[in-house]
Amino acid sequence: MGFFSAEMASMLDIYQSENIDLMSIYDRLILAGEKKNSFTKDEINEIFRTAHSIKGSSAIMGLTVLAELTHKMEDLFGIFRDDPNRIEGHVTDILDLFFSYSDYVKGEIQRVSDPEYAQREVPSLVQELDQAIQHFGGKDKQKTEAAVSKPTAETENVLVNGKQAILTLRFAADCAMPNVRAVVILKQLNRKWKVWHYEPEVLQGAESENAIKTNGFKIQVSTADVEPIKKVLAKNTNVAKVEAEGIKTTGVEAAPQAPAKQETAKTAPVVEEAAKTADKPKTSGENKFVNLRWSDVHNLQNITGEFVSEYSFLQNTLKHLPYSRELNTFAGTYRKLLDELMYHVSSMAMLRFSSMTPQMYRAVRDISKKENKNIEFEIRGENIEIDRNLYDAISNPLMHIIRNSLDHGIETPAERIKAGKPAKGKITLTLENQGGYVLFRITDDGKGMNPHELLAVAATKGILKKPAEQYTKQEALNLIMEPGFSTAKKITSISGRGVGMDVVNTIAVAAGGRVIIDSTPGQGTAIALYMPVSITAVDSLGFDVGPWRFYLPMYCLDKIFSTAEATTHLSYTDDGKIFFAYNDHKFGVCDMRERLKVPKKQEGFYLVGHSMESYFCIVVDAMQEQTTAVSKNLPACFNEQWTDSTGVVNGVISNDGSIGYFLSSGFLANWCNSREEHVL
Amino acid sequence: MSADKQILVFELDDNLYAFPISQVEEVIAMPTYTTAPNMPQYLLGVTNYKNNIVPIYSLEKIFAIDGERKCSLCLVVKSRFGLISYAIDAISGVRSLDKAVQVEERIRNLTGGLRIISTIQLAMQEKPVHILEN
Repeated sequence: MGFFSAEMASMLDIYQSENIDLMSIYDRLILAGEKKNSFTKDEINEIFRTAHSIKGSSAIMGLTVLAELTHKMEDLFGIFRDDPNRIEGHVTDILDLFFSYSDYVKGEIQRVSDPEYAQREVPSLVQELDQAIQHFGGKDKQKTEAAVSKPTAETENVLVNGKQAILTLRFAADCAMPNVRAVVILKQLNRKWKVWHYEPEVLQGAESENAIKTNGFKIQVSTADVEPIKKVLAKNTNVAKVEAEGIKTTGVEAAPQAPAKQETAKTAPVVEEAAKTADKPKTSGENKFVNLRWSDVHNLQNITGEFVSEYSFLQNTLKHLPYSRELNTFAGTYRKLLDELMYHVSSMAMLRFSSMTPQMYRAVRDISKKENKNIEFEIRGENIEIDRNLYDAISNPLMHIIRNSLDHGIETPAERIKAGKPAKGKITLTLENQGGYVLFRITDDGKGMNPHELLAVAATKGILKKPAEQYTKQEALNLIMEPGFSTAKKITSISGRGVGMDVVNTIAVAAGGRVIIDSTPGQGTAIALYMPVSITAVDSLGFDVGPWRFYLPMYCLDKIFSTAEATTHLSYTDDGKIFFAYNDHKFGVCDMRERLKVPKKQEGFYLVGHSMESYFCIVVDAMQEQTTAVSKNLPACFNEQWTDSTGVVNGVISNDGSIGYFLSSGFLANWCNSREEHVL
Repeated sequence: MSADKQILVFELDDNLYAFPISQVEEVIAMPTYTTAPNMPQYLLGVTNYKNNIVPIYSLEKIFAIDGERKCSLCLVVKSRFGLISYAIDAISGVRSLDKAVQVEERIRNLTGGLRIISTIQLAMQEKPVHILEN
């Protein structure tokens, strides 16, 4: 058996997800502290609470090393909480300690799911923390113990008010270790209310366990208004009933089907959640959040997708039946409900981008330190909400582009001064909502890219597709997205690991997005990633090429032309290329039958559409119906090269059960666009 | 007899092959399938298996066996890359590894991520069985 018992192991994913969230709060607060070289009282309190929650849940999981270490961190912030002046102006002195702690904790949180997990001791970190406590704490650090404490002088004023209540907590019958849960509850309550007295007094050992099981757990609190307390208690899934003495008993039932085995530690972060939204009145936020497992939401998304497919099937069937008003009304209502369901399910899967930002700030900070570069990093529009699927897809590409800017874009302070720029370089990440797309733009004020240099490098690597003098500026810049291209003269610790620009491009295009590069030598580079907001179910148009059915989202289609209608739009170049003129734009025509090597049996249709600002025109065999297509992942044997050759990014299960293929408008636009731009 | 000690044996062109039972998801009748443009040689196509798109690999093509046979069964197997299915003729049976003798340990890589991890003999005077993994 591994480190964790079966019961504990079942809680691991909740433990991980909650503590990853907590650590990202911690990182954000530390970085905020670094900026002003001090912490506000609120920040200190929040870090303290964060550490407290991590300690609690880690202790329950039996992660003693982590819990003890975090306990020390909590102590340290307890000192600052009592006297914020002690850390004033000293944050940067012990910043490395804060970060080493963060790295260790995050590492452990990741590692716990490893079946071979064993705790990792970190004596040096413990020692450093002890020294910091010694250094900042002086004599009166014993005050910082936040653990359950007997009433002290502070509670006197409560008695003067004379308001108190006695609550009796009954735990669910199959609740394991009710005494441990009682400790957790006390800690929770102690943050807001004073627990004056509790029974049994000793919460260790089997004796207390039995006492709680038979008599319940009694707590005497310093307020007569027990409702808010009950609310907090109700979140403990294993608390079956709360009785308030002297007040009419209204049992707070636990969530009906909640299993008693649920993570107790879960309760702590829920309260934390309320603290997170500190700008809102705390009481109103408390009951509004539930923690969801991502896999559950994902399943819900999938099932909704199935519903959409079923609906298309129903609609299809109705067409072949004699007209029935009842059935059609039913189908209409069904559609409305389905739309609503789709809306809510997709909004459930939305995440605020800001939860990703701490790690970015942190990475920029670390790299600029290592590279001896002075950099200001700013993120604008971080409150935009994006789909979790997009969130997962975008993080690596964004980090790679930012790393590129840091490593290759921004010059050293000396070089910058020489070039007449401020010593401090600037990198900005801007997020914007643009219709169905989210734009991520990374700009830097570094040395920029010289198209001629890019061409020269590409020539030596043999990746030029035509003579260098025929390249436009845009085409030259796009060379950095070619596989095998790198202008770095040395392989640094930063570049040369993770993903390259070619992979960034592939990821963006595969998700239906695009990468647009702009750069001016001496002034800087801007890289824009356009990504579609939602990736799952979209209204799409079906069409056939050879024996295969393809789909394109309706939002990227402009017009369909029959061969006869298309003739007036077509023009031919001497070297046999075909161009399509539409809406003052001229772009290439891609005959899908040639591309997929199938015979042209019919005249075909010309489909004109766009991907962001670029148009495309493809020729296909036959048109099919408009439908709501739910994309399904294709098997892994359909790899990137395959996507490159076919333009297919996903599969679709059609109404008749056969498989169709989702084309990427980004790929089509790339194929059809050799922009009429002046050659370099 | 525990599940990881059992294998599902099937015959192909006079040879015996097997997947560990723990890897086998299901054996189904050959479903209708769709081809794909530019698809790898070893693929027959893709099919809708419980609302997932699952590839059907042709073992004949992977083992370069001449002549086309009509396979009536499809063996759905769990792999590192999700579910994969193999078109097969018939199942020989589920066998225990308890008395198996290893004939050859050499790992042989085949196309499509498939490989033979070992070759064993289940009982005296029986044909050797190639254990597959993907």
